Amino acid sequence: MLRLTATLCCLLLCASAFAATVSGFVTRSGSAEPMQYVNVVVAGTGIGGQTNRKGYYVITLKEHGRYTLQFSQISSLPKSVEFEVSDHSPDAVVNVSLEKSSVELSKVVVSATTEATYEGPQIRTGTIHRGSEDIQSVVSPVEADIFRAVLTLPGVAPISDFSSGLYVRGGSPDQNLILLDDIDVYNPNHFGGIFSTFNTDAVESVELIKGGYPAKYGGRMSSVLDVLNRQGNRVHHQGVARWSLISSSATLEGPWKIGSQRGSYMGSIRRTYVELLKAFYDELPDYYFYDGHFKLNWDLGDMDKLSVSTYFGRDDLSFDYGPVLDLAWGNKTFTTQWVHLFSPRLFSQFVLAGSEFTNNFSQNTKEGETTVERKNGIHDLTAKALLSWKPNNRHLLDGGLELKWNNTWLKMGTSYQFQQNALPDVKVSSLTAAAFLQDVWEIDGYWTLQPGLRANLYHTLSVRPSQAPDAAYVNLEPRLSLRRRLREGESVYLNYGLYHQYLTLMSMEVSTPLDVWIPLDGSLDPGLSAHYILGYKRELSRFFNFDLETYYKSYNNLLQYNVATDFSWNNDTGTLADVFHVGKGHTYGVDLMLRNDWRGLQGFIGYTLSQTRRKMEGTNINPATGQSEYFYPRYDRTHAISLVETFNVSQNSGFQVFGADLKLGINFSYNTGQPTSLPERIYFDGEDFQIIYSYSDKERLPAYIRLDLSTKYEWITKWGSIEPYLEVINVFNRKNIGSRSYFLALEEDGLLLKHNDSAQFPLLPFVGINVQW
Amino acid sequence: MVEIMRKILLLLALFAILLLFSCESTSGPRFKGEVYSLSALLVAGQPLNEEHPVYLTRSSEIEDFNYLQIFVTDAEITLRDLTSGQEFTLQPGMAGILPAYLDPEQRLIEAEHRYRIEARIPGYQPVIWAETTVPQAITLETDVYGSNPAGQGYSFDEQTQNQMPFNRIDSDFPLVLNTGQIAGDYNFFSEFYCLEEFSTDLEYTTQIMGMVHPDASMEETYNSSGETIRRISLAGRFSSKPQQGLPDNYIMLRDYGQVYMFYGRYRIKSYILDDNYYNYVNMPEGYLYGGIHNALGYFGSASGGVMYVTICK
Repeated sequence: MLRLTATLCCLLLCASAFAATVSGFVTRSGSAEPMQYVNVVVAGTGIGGQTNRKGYYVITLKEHGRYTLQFSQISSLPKSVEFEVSDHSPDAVVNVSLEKSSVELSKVVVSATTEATYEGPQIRTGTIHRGSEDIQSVVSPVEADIFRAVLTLPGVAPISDFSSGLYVRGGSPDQNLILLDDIDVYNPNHFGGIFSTFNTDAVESVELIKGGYPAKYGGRMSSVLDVLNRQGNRVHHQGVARWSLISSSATLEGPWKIGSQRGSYMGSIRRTYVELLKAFYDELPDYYFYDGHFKLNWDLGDMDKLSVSTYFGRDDLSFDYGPVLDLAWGNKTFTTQWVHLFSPRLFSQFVLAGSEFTNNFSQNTKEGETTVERKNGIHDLTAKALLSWKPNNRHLLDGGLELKWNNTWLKMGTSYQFQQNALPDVKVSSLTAAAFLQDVWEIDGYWTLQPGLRANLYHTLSVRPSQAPDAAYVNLEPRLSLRRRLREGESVYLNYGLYHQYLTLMSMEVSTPLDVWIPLDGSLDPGLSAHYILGYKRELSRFFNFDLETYYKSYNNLLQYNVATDFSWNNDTGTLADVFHVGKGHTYGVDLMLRNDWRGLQGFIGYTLSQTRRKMEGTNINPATGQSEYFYPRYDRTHAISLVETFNVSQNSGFQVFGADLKLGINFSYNTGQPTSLPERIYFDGEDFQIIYSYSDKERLPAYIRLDLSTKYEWITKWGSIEPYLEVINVFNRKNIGSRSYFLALEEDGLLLKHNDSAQFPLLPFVGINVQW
Repeated sequence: MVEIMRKILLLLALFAILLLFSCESTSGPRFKGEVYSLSALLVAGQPLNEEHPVYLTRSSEIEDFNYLQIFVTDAEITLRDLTSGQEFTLQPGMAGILPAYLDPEQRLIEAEHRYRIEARIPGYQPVIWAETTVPQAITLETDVYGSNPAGQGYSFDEQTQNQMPFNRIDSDFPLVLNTGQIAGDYNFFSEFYCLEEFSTDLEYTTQIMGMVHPDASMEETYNSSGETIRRISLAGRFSSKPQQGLPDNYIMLRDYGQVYMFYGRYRIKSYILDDNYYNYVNMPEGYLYGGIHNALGYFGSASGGVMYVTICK
């Protein structure tokens, strides 16, 4: 404690010794939206910094005088601005806007964030930042999608074409912290996994942290997906509308001004209309979803900015298979954020946010009587106070407090004579309090140390069934990163961190919107993961960047829903421990990424070599010992290669098609086949010959290979642009296998072992049109 | 540029090395040598005869599988009634065309008695054994309210011509198990098996995605073992309760018509089960949880019976 106090005192002294600062916000020209991770350098001094996720930067200066600030970010035109600091005005404010380098200025650009490759002071381990334009450029079925774009990144494994669950470096989807404007989003999937919850037109950026995440984040064991809504154009009103065969969306944004008050707004809505196609084909399921993002920003002054954002989405499915199955699920979130500058050096952000996920299903007779009903949901109310203090150019201190209230319910009912006590009637509410502190210490021009500590307090507030024990856990999570800059654009870094998880997911093998989030009761220990990362970054040239990360993650107290306990709940004696397999595991591997922005060819090649193993009590039993054995889970992929590229033909060759700009996109994926069990023996059960299976990972399915292509034709008009597009998914029509099931068939030749394969996307063409104004 | 090319080549070499030394990982064999499996379901009030035989199988590598050779016929299998102390040896015999073990004395299995089975196989050291407690006696009701029109409803007669209109199953033809004077919770299990041979003329009772008849490609699936569109099972913890206008306690299943996927003849097995057989049918890899020691399979017990009916329009 003494040491900490002494350190803080030293930092304060340092802060008062060098009083001059230059600070400000960097925004995008044409929309005045904040730009993240812009490199800011004071020319001739070697002093620099980087904008944060709100577009704010601050640099301290040793001496008064005239300086030149240089702003740069890949794909933006660099800019230099002169400023002066003196005794009378020691704190200079320089707000600038940057223009995109590769776009015509006359064209309306809805979004234009590109990947930041500059290494700022913070050690951003395992982090991949994608802007809206990056996401839009990834060829995806039906329309661009955040999760589909994230699934192309090295270190992220897809489980199926029909699931957008993210398996990040050996972690399952429940171990990903998914944030939208700083609030957790639970089960962010629409039906079928083709669409994620988020509408890309409404999204400013996505930051995937695959491991070793900073002390600011907690509550999950594997990764963070931090999604920010767009703030909206502060300069003029604009919009974009998209039509495809099964969905439409519209986004509007612009500035607002009332008296002296001003700000911006953004609203985006999307809806599918599969159910309308029933008019032409009566046998389609009755299904639709809609979602909407809205954000309102209020610039209270130079030192204060207020924003309110909300998201809502709903899926509705009705399926008649004799009885009628009605399913409905969806998310709602709200976030209020106040950004306040106490001083140029002390940046603060206060958040009050809430989130709700509900999923309900019922089975009804033709007469409308309900025979089975399940209601489930989770509430989240979160308050955060985040402070970022830069006492000098050597230290950047981040600290904060977070308070999170969760409430989950799961209740089943039925008119069948099920044992009522065996149907779940669960309600758990919990409080998680966390405090964190992190310093980014630039020791010298070469070494940067980033120590951090997060303290968590988790306590259940109420638990039903009442006999289930309360939980009370206090955990410390040290985080440490160390970086050595080798030369300009080249560095090597190390990272270590501990992570706990207090929520778990009752999920079948593949994540679905019907998965149930539950805060732990006292019968289960929190999940614990340790991350070890060694990374290397290198700017190979102006056009190519190379990242390499090797990692090891250990997992303890892993939980896996025991499907055999379906309808075997005991509301009198049960605890959560009764319905979960508990286990452990580890994953290790290497991710490589080569980014290119060369003569209009933008994208990356990614490669992952990895191994993930788990051991869960009560599963994958060794029949000789009765004990569980380690196994490679379904999402283990030894090799994963992805190639994601876009090429603006017209911009780089002048070639046009009927006056339209031609853009091409390619997305190629190769993944090692997923592990699966294999028949090993046969027995007779009194009725049929039956299969005795191997361990769950005896065989690998054939490799997953898919090539997607897209062409877009963009006509620029006086009022905006029209962009029809054609996408072809799985160009080779390769029969990628989602899963394989075996059966025995008695034929003339005897009893034969056969199998059925579940299909994934066949060759699928999609057409649509985007209109921007 | 040359330097860049050199670096790219270096990286490619690194890739090649990684690829070379990283094979796709899978587990080794789960079972070694021969694997024995015992399948025995004791049904209250029924003997271990051709209808309810005991099967003992031996299986080695699946590639060498010959289904005629997996039956073990030289084992010594004894069944002991732990409640009465009676013990008898089962004799090898045939259940249809398959080798099995039967009780030539046709002794009836007693409800609520606890039984132990032991199998000794020449050349296989450990004794295979298991125990079960037979559930209480229950009866299946084919017409619990006495309201079925003539020729309609379930029948115990395998050759019955009884029919049930599909659209009236949910309301008029409940599946009923009478547990007598005892109310309580039971492991309930019913299997609905279509007795019709596969044909593209078979007709679905409910048309999903416009399908009226199964296409030829579904024949293998239809005839395969396990849960299929031909064989649909229901299992769960059910409560037996008094029912209005009836004297006893009943597990009464209504709104279940969707288990009949096709029009045609059906066989319905409906039981209450002991935990061994319930775990066997209910759990993934149930053959590990059927109560058998030193082998796989199940030694379970049940009370209930078999009914027949034809589902019509």
